[in-house]
Amino acid sequence: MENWVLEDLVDFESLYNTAPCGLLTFEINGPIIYINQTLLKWLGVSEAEIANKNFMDILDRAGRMYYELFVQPILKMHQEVKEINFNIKTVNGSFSCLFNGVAVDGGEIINATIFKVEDRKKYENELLLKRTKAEEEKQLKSKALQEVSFNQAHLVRAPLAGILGLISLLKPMVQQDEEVKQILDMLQASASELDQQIRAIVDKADFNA
Amino acid sequence: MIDVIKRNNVRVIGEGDQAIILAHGFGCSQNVWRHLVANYKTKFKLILFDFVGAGQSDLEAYDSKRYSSLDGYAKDVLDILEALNLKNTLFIGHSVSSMIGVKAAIAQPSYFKKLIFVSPSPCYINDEEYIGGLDKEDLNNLLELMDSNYLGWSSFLAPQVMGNLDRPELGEELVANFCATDPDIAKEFARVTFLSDNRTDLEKLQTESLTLQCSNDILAPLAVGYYIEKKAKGNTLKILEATGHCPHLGAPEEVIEAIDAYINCA
Repeated sequence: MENWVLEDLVDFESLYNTAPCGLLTFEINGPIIYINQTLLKWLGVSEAEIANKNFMDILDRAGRMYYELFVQPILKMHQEVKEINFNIKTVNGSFSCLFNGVAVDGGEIINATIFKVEDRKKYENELLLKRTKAEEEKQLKSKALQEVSFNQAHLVRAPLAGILGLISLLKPMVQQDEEVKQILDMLQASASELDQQIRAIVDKADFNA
Repeated sequence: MIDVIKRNNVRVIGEGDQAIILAHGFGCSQNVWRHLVANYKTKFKLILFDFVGAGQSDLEAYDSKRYSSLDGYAKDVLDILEALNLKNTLFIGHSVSSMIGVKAAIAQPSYFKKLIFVSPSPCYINDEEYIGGLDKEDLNNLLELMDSNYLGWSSFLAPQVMGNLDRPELGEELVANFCATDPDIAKEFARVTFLSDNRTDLEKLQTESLTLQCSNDILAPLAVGYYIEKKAKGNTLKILEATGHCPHLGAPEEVIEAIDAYINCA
């Protein structure tokens, strides 16, 4: 299509202002240069009110710190950031957004888009909450396993060691009685087997804890 | 023995008798020093490295206990200088690394000739009379924001990068996302960085130092610069015209000029 036809069909100024996302141009150190009507509407301010404002002014404190610590360095190093989640302050409260930015004009000017994220943010929060919960549950479980392992290792194996010791003491006393000797041998074998089993459980619990 | 060079992704570049070790701050990697590196590599021997958890350091070497205070990170700096057999170095640290340098210099004064702090703070949290600039709620909100931003980090990518020479593009991708850090490690480092109070270390410091303080830095207000000047013996405070927290990226010329003036005056 010829350019003049395109210009006829698309009113770029109107597109800029009514785009379904916030459009913003600011100096990398903050001062806002252009802002579209969509974003002004979301912020609940007029063009005159935003004129001397800084990009950092529409962020909350954590957002400003995040911008200084991560976003600005990435913009300076790579001229581009994608999908940064910020909270944007408005007249009546705030909204969560995804921020994309490219550095132009030798890196001094940032062109940015701001997408409102509401439902998706709720979904993400749900996922984060579930993850935190899962981690907590895992820790509780691991603690319980450690307790089991401790009980098995110390509290159960100690009396068993006593039994095994007593058997070896009894054995020389019943040399004459073949039947009792056989029973004692069986008792010793069973107790040893039990000891092995407990050891296996302890090892497994330790491994999973 | 631990391979310190691999653990901290240590790189030695440049020509010169005097060594400068550059320690990046929280959330970054050694790549942030590129403007200073370009300027200083013809005059100095430059030691670049990543703290464990950042950049292309060995993530396997991360140890929550060792790195639960800045002392563990200071030990890393000393390990590196020891491995390279260097003493009497110039130390340049950004942000939290300034205090890491202070701790290292208290432990081993002979390793350091002078310390240069870029946007330092001995304590970020306000405490009665002391103005650190932040309160605990700010920190919690920051951690929450970090939780919802992964900055290109991918747990699928990281293990593959290490030693995967046949797929260099993976390494490049991580270099490109130089802020990409294992989120769990980043969170712990954030806590150590912002919750630690290292004010008492300043008085123990015997090494001369320079503070480069930005005007209008949300993470280190001017009061912090004056505090360090007052408490650390032999500290010179230079307030830069640059704003923000990363003047070495935003206004490298001004930073270089101030460092030159400081190291040449002695």
